[in-house]
Amino acid sequence: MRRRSFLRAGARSVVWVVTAAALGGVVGGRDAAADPAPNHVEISVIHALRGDSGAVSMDPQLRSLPQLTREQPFVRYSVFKLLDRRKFPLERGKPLAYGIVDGRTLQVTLLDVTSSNAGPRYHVRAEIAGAGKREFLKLLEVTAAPNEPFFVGGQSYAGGTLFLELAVGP
Amino acid sequence: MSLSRQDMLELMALADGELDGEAKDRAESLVARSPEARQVVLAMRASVVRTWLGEGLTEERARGADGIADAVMGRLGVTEAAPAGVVRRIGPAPSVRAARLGPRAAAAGVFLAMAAAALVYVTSSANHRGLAPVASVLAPSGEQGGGPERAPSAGQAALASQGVVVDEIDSPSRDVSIFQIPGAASASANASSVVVWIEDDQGAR
Repeated sequence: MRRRSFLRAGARSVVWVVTAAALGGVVGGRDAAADPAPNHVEISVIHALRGDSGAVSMDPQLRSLPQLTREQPFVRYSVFKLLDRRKFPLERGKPLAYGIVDGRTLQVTLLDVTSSNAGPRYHVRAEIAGAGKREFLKLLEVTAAPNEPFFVGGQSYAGGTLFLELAVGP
Repeated sequence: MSLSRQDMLELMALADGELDGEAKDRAESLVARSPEARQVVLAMRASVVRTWLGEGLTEERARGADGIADAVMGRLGVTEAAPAGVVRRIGPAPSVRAARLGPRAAAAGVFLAMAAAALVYVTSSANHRGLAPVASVLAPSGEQGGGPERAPSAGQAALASQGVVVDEIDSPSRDVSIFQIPGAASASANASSVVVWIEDDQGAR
């Protein structure tokens, strides 16, 4: 009789321990999943033209571009105008669609965020498609430091070209 | 009559017993009408059998292998009967396999070399003709003339850039260039970025 109650108490303890461990795991997992680092993508659409005078005319909102105008392929243009700049939340694995002024659609997907000694790295995929036209950019995958912009240029638009500036970060 | 490369490949396959159907009929008919083809097949079969008839097999294994050797000899049309009580020896299986793989490996090698040469030719001719290869890294023509100063490859960009690394680009039938540029808006001065330049349709917009 005594032995049976001892066993019963032991079994009850085991059940408690297992239940507590399971609950702890669920709660812990939920915490971890509910608090992902929020990431964003900033998309800037820049219209570049070749001015008659040759003097560089820079939209004051293009904070980072002046230093690049001496670099290829920016050096070919002298007038830079910001057409649009927007910041969107970017969830991992969920594509973000953005309508470009020329009618094409840019799709950005955050594939992964990895960490290295130098800090986090954002693995991003970009695609540009246009209805009824040849695919412009089927696939571009880059790995970038936080808020380090990369550019996709070449789309003809209104006598010039478009530069899309993309920067992903927290 | 000289045999073509295709004929040689088929004869090799026939000698290895790998042909069937139409190809087999074609090869056998070639053997029937061409002494040269016959020589090739016989030479190949003989080399295989010579390898088979190696050394180093125990009598127990040789007894089991007799049937195979007999079949091969019969297929070769070798009429002289082996003396009674003589044990034919068959070499170890790996050598047989190696000998049998020889012609096939040579054929595969020739095929791979031709494929590589064709790939190099197609790539270079496409570039020269200004056709747009998939994810190619070419100097952009630009709208303003004034040729580009540089057009680094994707690999170079990926290696050199610490800020942004291009992992993959695919833009079918369009010319693609990658320009590495100094850090644009980054916190680190050493980082660099990239401009992916894709040629648009002329007068598209």
